[in-house]
Amino acid sequence: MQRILLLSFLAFALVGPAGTQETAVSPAETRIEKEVLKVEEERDQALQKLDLPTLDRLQADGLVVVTTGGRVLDKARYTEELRSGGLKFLTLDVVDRRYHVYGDTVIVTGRANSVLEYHGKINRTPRRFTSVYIKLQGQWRLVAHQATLIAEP
Amino acid sequence: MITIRILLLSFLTLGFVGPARAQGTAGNQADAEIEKEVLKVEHQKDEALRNRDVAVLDQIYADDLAFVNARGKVITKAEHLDEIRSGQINYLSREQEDYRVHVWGDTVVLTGREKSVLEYHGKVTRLPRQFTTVYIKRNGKWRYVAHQVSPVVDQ
Repeated sequence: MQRILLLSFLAFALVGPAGTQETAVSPAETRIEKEVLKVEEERDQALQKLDLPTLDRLQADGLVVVTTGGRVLDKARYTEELRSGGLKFLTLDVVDRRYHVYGDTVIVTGRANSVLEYHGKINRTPRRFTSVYIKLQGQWRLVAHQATLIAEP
Repeated sequence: MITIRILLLSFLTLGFVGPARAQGTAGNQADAEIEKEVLKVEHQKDEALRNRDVAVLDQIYADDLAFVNARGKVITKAEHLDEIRSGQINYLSREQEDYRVHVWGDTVVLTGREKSVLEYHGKVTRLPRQFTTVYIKRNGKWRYVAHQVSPVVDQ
């Protein structure tokens, strides 16, 4: 059910998979993980290129995003942050993705080392995120995303 | 496909101040019933956290729980339960509000704000935290499969 895929988004290289526990992963789950990873990569590229039509397609209308500062944004407000330049992804680097497959719902956790600009302030602090994807009408769509700054050990 | 409703709840009183709709989508009776079921489990979970009732938490939490704490650390179900059992996490008071329930069939995404005072590894924290929790129905029971918390610093 659960396994870790160590991914470098920049290199698009699959360094994993490695299991966190002894749980076996079925071929169906492996296929789903690949499908969701593809959508994640497509979404990451769209974020960097500010490709709003692609983001609109990959993000559900009922999307809820919780920012590292604890703000709750719906799809319209999140899109507006991107469109207005309030939120800019200057570089994208996502690693340590872990997939939890529950049929047509997939939960992904990972670490983003991306550099972003949020309302004029550059943020280089690594973030841990949880993304929830659900397959809707044959398409995996992001329905929830939350990021938290990673504190110094 | 989705119903989104905001339930403004005071955990302390367990009283409905809402529900209010987050967006224009109308909720149907089935979704309203799911909200009730999930919030009931959420309250059971919170009570178990207050009482450090690890046995109840063990039943509600999925074995492959994905839990990201307010420091951005991923911890397993076993690690989380151990922190509670050992008192490394100790809820001195517990208050959650502004629940928003997103029903996607057998998957429910719940966001909310936590104003609890807690002691974490000996340090008391009072900073409000925003969370996302995911429940999935498995074998007829709503199971807590994911949870992430962020300190609230932006208003």
